[in-house]
Amino acid sequence: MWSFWKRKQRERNLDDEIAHDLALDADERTREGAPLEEAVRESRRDFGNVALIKEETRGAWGWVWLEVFFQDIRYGARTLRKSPGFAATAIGALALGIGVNSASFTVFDQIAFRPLPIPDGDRIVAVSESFRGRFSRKMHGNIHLLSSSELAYYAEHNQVFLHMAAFAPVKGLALAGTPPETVAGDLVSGEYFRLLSGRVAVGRTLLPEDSTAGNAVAVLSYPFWQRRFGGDPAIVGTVLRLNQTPLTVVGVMSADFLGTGAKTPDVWLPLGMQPEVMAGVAPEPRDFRSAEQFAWLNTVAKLKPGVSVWQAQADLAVLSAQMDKNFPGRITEVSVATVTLSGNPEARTILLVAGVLMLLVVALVLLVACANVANLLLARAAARQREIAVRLSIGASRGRVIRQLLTESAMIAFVGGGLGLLLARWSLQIGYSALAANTTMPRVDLSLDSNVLLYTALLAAAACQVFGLLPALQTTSLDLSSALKDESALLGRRVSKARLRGALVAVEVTVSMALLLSTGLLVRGIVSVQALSDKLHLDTYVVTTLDLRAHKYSAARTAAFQDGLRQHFDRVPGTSSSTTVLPPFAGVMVTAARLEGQTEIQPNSVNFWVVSADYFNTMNIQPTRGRTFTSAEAGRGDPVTVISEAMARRFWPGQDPLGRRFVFGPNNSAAAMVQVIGVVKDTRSIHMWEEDGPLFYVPLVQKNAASFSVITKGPKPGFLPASTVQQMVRSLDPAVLASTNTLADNVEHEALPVKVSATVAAVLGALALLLALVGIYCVVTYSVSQRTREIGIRMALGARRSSVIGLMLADHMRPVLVGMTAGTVLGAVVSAAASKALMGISPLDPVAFLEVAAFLAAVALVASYLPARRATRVDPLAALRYE
Amino acid sequence: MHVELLQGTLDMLILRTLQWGPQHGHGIGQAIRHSSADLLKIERGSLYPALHRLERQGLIASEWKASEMNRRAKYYRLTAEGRKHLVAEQSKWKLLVRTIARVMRLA
Repeated sequence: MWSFWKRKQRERNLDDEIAHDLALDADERTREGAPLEEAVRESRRDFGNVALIKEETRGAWGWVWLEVFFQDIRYGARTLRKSPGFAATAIGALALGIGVNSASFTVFDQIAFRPLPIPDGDRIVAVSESFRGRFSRKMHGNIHLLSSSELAYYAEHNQVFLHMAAFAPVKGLALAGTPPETVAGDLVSGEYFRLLSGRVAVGRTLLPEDSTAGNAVAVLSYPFWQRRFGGDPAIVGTVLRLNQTPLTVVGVMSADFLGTGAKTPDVWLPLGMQPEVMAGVAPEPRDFRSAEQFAWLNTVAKLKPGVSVWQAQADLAVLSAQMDKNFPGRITEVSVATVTLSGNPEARTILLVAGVLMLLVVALVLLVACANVANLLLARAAARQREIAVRLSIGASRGRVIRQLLTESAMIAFVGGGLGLLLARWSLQIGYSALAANTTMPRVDLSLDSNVLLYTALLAAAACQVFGLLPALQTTSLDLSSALKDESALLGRRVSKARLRGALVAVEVTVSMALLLSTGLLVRGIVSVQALSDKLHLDTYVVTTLDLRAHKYSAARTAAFQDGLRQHFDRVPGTSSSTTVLPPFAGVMVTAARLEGQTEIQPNSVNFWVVSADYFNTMNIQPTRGRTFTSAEAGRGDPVTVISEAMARRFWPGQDPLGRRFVFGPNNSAAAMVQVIGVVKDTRSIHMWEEDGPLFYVPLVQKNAASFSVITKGPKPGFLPASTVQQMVRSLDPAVLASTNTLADNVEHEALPVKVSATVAAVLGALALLLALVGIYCVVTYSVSQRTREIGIRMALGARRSSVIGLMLADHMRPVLVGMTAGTVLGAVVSAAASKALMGISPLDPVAFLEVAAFLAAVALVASYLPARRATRVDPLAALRYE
Repeated sequence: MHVELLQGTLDMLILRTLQWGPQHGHGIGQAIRHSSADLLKIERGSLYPALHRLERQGLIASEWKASEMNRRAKYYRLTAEGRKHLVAEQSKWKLLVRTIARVMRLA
């Protein structure tokens, strides 16, 4: 307030000073004999442009830029308040554009860049390795993980870490009890909890001694403790049986300890328990810890204070080179990165590429929003031409006016950006809870951080330049004398301005068209898959999946269990059941094959199903030649196979495949040959949206299949409730857990990523379309208002309303058509690149293209027809009287 | 005939004029004009920004007083720092004039 008053005072003083100067000058002139009036006039003329002199004098006050800035803001706020419609549209468009960008970035940033939410999280790093040259490496998890000996070497010899710790996730641990359930665990080294500053709710954490002494102990996560044991503190000291291994619970972690993966595990076990817990579940070797070149350990390490990630990487590179000496030909590239949720380098690269693509797509929406606001500003600038001309002619410099206009743009941008940020947080919360309700989502912390703020601010600033500069330059480069007279048309310039606005509309339509096309194609794919699934009544196939590996069943017991279970299923009236290693639409087995009499392995791999003899009946797969195998053959494990027609065509074109023999799988010896006894029709069993390629079926040998599914075809959906299945399983072994769903669920699950993409594309497309429509509406409205006189003349000369409307529409549909054409090309290119996601729909699917084009053309027509109608309400007399 | 003012010399002229005592903007303009025998005419568009800049730099100070015609006028006066600045500027100026004169004579 004080500074404001002082400013007023200062302004007044400057006025006085100049008035005094003028008065003295006039006095002198009158003394020399000039009449008073003339003296005053001459003084003024000699003095110069008072406003400009004042402006320049104020410039010497030093803090003037700040002053001018506030002045601009006040002035800008006033002008925006005076046209609330314009302000609301512009700010709203930007808020949408920036909001969707800010939301996408939040998710991306959260997954890819944000360190773990723990003390010193930015000093917690992960170590991973990539290999080149000659090497052989087995793995549990992925190839970039460390082996036990590598971790030990790094831990002992590095100069950069305070501690190093390791963890290895184990999924699907069978927890005995009532009811039995499968839980997810992390095997962790002794330093793990200390390194991550983990606190307990009850009991203690795992300690280094637990690993060295081989203690059979476990620590529970807080959510698991609450869910399974109701938060009972007496749980400490009790014994849990995981995969048949007894483990004493020693503690429960506090609620804020989330672990180091995308999902918090249910239990943590000492690394030393790996052989016991994973016996029979994981492939060889039995003990991961003593295996050379066996990748299985995720690492976390805490940097010493002041050590950078790069220093750490350089230090470890020396150590990995030392280790490479033991493996001639192997070149290890070690990499150190701050621990985020995105995991190993491979996953990180994929994620980065996907994230950047996503950000580019949403940036397009912002571009549309900017084009829109630029259009609004251009239209408004035309309305403000007189004001600006006045400002320029009384001495404001062009730069000064541009700065004023840009300040207004910046205000729009920053208010829009702020609202966009709110919008982003709000939509993320809604989206996240909607997704979390249906699926188990990795934990995401959606709170604001400096990255998101910075990104949003940068976007707002960039947007302000994109939409603000061009109109500001346009507006201030006007011919003063004609603008001051009411010659609003500026005939020479109108052409280029109209073209600029048209181009902006075309850009908006292009982006909307491309996004809507992608949506259309994705939706067509989903609908066609759904229709096929309904036609085949896939919801009447119940799939019961069991995994006996964790229960350490013998081969005989596995076979007996399957027999018992099948007897239960076969007693359900009106159904037919069969057993398979994998159910359809949930992955498939792939193998290489070699035909009898050939030494070459077939260049292309083949898919195969391992099924019981009744599979063909349950799934209604008809033999076209020969026969399918019998239960007796399957029981004995006879070397017989049934092939699909596609396989017959590929391997034995024009020949009789019956009786032919081939060998598949890692065992390439002639003793493992199987003989073709039948050919069946081609099916859709891998993906719903395409015919399977070459495929063969081999008999399922019960004792070898500890993990399998039973498929039961019933008369109508819901014929076999999950609880009934659970009862059947429990009657055989109460510890075993079965999961049930239907083939329709499998198909739906397979389509889930496509559905998510379609939803995202639809939301973005709808946003872009909305913005484009607002853009078209504004341009037409503006154009009608500018051409009032022309329309008046036409109507005075007898033009009919319809022809006037037609004229306006023709003018404005041209950029729309250009945009649609460009959008079609862009959409086709994008869909062709992503054709795998289209679920069997051609990237040039004519239905989708026509539907989207018709829809867009229709709404664009409506958006321009509504304001164009106004043209006909022009009263020719009133329009002409303006002259 | 008019002489164009050399870049940067206006400040020195203003300080020099104020050595005679406090003066208002109009008076400073007139004084320079008279003492240059009407050869230098100071544009108000340069004078006022210069005065306000010098005031901000602390080389001159101002106060409001009644002027000769009983009007409220803003009188500028030299500060101690302004005096020092003027002496320095003057010797620099003299050196410049002498140097240029020598070069021109030789040429």
